[in-house]
Amino acid sequence: MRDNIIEHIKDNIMNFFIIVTLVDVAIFISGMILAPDAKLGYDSYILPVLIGFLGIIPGLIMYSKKELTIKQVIIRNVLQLILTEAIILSFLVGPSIFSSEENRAGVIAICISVAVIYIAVIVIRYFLDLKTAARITEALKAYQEEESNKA
Amino acid sequence: MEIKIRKIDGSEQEYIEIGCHRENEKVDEIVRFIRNLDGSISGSTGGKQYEIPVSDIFYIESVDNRTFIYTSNDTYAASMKLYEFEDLLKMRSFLRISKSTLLNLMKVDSVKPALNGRFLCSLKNGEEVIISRKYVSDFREYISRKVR
Repeated sequence: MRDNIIEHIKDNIMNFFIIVTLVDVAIFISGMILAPDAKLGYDSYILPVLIGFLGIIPGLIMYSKKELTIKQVIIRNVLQLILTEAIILSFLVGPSIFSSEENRAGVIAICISVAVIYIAVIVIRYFLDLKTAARITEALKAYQEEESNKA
Repeated sequence: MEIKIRKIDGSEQEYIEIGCHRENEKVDEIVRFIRNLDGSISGSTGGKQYEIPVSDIFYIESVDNRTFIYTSNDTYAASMKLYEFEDLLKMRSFLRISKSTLLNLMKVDSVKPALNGRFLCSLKNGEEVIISRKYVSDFREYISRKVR
């Protein structure tokens, strides 16, 4: 069980760094489109880190000691996305979420960004795993050949 | 019980003989053990007992406290527990890939990612088995250690 928890924490640390990088990219792109002349202070550097940390909280909470089926993983991912949206929205917008028309547009933009980043994290992780799988398969073939030669 | 070991000439075929008053469970267990060492495992299907060559086994799985041996097309029930198989077959390319599965690495065709940090092993008979998260790093380490 301890090994499972360690693996789960490692997974979430990796997710954290991917999220921070993607949030940085998202801020750069949306900033260039919406407010290209805006000047930001040093404090803005901490925002991606905070969002990264908030983004992994649902993942940390949703630890399961059981091996989940594909269906359970999908359900959990959807719940995790909803929870992530709620946490990040309450952090960035706070209680004034639907107070004005302008806020509403901002909320929608944040929701879309969070969803895009969430999906991007899954896709990036999948591609990293794909690379790992290719390496394992290659090593496995070498192992099989070695063992066959021994026999 | 007295144990006798007699060296024989290289030209003769090696054999093991058991002297017993009657063939009981203990004797059967010794026979099973020797056969396992010799490269086959006992399994039953359709009420009949079979000797399954280890090289034919794709994976061994524990389901509801029962152990099953899977070959390319058949499934056999086994009397041994999964951890006993793990111990017995650890030198014969078998590796634990989840709490309930012991995999013959020689029967793996390829590995691909599944969701949630797990990996899927496609076997040479087209079947797929999951390497659970906990065992992924052990699996990687084992393979890379062996081919170093």
